[in-house]
This record gives sequence, C-alpha cells and structure tokens, in this order.
Amino acid sequence: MDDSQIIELFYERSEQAIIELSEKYGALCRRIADNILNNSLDTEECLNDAYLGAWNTIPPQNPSPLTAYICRIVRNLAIKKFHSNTATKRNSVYDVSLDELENCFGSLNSAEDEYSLKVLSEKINGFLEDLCTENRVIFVRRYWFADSISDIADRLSMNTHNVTVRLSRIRNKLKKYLEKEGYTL
Amino acid sequence: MKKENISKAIGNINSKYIIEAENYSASAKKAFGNKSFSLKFFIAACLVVCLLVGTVAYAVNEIREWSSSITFEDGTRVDIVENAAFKSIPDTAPKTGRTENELQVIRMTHAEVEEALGFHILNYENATSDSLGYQTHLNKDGSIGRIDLWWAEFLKINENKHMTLSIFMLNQNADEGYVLAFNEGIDAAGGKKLENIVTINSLGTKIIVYKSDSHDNKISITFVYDNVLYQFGGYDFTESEMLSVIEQMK
Repeated sequence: MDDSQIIELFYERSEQAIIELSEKYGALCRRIADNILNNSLDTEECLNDAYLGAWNTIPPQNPSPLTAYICRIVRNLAIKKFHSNTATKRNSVYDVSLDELENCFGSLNSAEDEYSLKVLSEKINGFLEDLCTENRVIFVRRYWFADSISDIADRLSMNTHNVTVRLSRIRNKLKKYLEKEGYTL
Repeated sequence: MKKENISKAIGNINSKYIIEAENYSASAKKAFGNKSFSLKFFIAACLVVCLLVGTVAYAVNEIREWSSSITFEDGTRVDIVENAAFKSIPDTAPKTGRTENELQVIRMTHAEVEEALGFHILNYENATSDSLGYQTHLNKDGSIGRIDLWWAEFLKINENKHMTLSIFMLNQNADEGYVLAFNEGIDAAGGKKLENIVTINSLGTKIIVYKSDSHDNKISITFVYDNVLYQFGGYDFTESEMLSVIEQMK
C-alpha cells in the first residue's frame, strides 16, 4: 500500500492504518528499536508506543515521507527508554556506536541546550552533504539506525574491515569539520 | 558532551539522509543479489586461472594496484593517479610505534630515508631543512603497510611564507584499509576547490593544484611520481612559485 493511502486511513481514523503501517514498516522499525534496546520486550513496547504516537499525531500531521517520520518516532522512543532504563544501557549496538561518537563530541560542552543541539544538527547536516553517498549511508546506518558493522558490510557488499576503516575516517573528518566550524573539541 | 545529547544531535539529521540510507542499502543489496551468481562464477574462474599461473598469493601480488583521487566541494572527482604500483619496502626499514595518545615519529635526513627505503625520493637542493619525519603504519601481521614522510620545513622564506611537503607510499603487502585510504584521497581537509591541472615536464607527471576552505593563503599541490604520492602545502606562495620549485626537484 502507498504511504499516501496509509495516511488516508489515519485521517479516516481507521484502525486498519496501524495494521498497514505495521505491515509495511514493522520490520524496519523493529530493527531500529532492537539495535538500540537489545531487548525484545522493550522493543515490542517501543513499537506499540510508536504506532500510538503515529495515531495521535496523524492528523494533524501529514508526514512525507512516512518512512522517516515513523522511524524517527521509533528512534526517539527507544532512546528515551534506553536512557531511562539502566539495565539496557550496555551491550546494544547503539551503546557501542555512541562510544565511538564520544571521541568526536566528548569534550564539546557548548551544545547542551535544545537550541545549541539544533544548531549542531544543522552543522552535521552540512557535513553529511559534503560526504560521498556511500560514506554518508555508512554514517547514517551506523549512528542513526544503530546498525552493526557486519550488517552495514552485508548491506553494502563490503567487508567489515573496510566499513570500520571508513567509519573511523568519517569520524575524523567530522571532528575536523566541527573544529573548522568553530567548536572547541 | 552527554551521550544523550550526542544522540539527539544525530537524531535531528535531515530526513532525506534517512531515506537515502534505507533505499541505498536496499538497492545495493538487491543489485548484489542479482549479480551474486555471476560473481561467484567469476570468482571461481579467477581462482582457476590463478592456480594455473602459479600460487594464488603470487598472482595477487602481481596484479595489485592502487589509485588515488580528490573529490572537490562541487562534487568533481579528479584522479591523481590510476593503476599505480606498490613500493617494495625492505623488511629492514625502521618501524615506528603508536600509542593511544601519539604517533611516534623518527627524524631522518633525506639520505637516511633513501638508504632505509632502498629507492629514490624526490629532493630539492635548496630545501631549508634536511630533517624529515618518518612514520610507519603497520599491517595486522606487524609488517609495514604504509609509510608517511613529513618534511615540515621543506622551504621556509619567513614565518608566514613557507612550504611543507608530505610524502606517502604503500608497501606491496599493505592491508586493504591503507589502500582504501589512498583510493579515497589522502587529504581529508573540508571544502576543496580545484585551481588547475598541469603537467610538469621535468617529472613527466600530472599535477593537481587546489585550495581548501580552511586556509585562505594556502595552495595545495599533489601528484604521484614513481608510485609515491607527494603533497605540498604552500603558505603565501603563488601557484607559479610552487610549480617552479617542483620543476627543480630531482
């Protein structure tokens, strides 16, 4: 079913909308939540909350693309749960990927409020724009989707060593880019 | 910065990149899947050919090549070199270690570097200093994969006007990670603008001249000569002044 048809179902307040949304994006959402939470019960709860979130916000929202919208809801909910539940704080792919990013942002103290974080996000968008497509995809898969190295390698038909090296180079570039943009790291 | 906030900053990236990452990976996988049979067949055929010629290792060493390019901020990609050969760096060449906080560098003269490597490195008789930083990157098996030379005071006119030279080379058994780094371009500086592509007759090689956003007064020049990558950074130098210096190198 097309995204526009699913959104139409939401606007008609038909519960079929949730079924179609789950049918189309359930696997993708589950993977994102599971990468972050590393716990099937929490993942299930997170997905239900995400579908409820979509139900409560569409309408008035008319998201396009729907994929990014639902993925963003899942990610935000999963991260909220991750940080509120100390038991899930170790060993998820997300946790490891955050450790990797700490080297880029670890000593950055000037961006802790909402506005500064938005500005920082814009800078990251600018950085991503300059990357070649493949490197951008690797970065987003690792740090947004919290995919494991082997999953990324599998998806892009690369070996894990190449993915690791590329990620390391991208993080170094990001660090230099942020320094150039005036951040003290 | 708190991990929570790092996560928020990454979480707010543009939706188009999220869609791109999801679609790109799916299409890449699909394309790979369609080709998997022919790829397997191709690999099998290659193995048979390798076995006929000699050992697989020997064959792989013989055909290995590396390339390097620069991607400019407008998306233009310019090849520095294609199909370059790997250098044969002797096992006796010094190895430098690496700690968590610093890379170890050995100071050597130009002559000492050449003696250690066993091949010629371009020299400039009017160089201000004869002190080069020598640094190795090791393969997983502990052998040398890549060597970087850093000629910080290659040519110093005054505090502002000076020229630096970095020299990079890959050993014949370099791990794939080092080869990949060369393929993607050694210069990791941000926005780069192509200024010129010229041929230096004395060296018979193509030279790429460019500028980067990070320094208004810096011109970078890069080229490959005898399978070694040279990269100059000239501060307050004009392009013609830099080319003149390079033309005199032997």
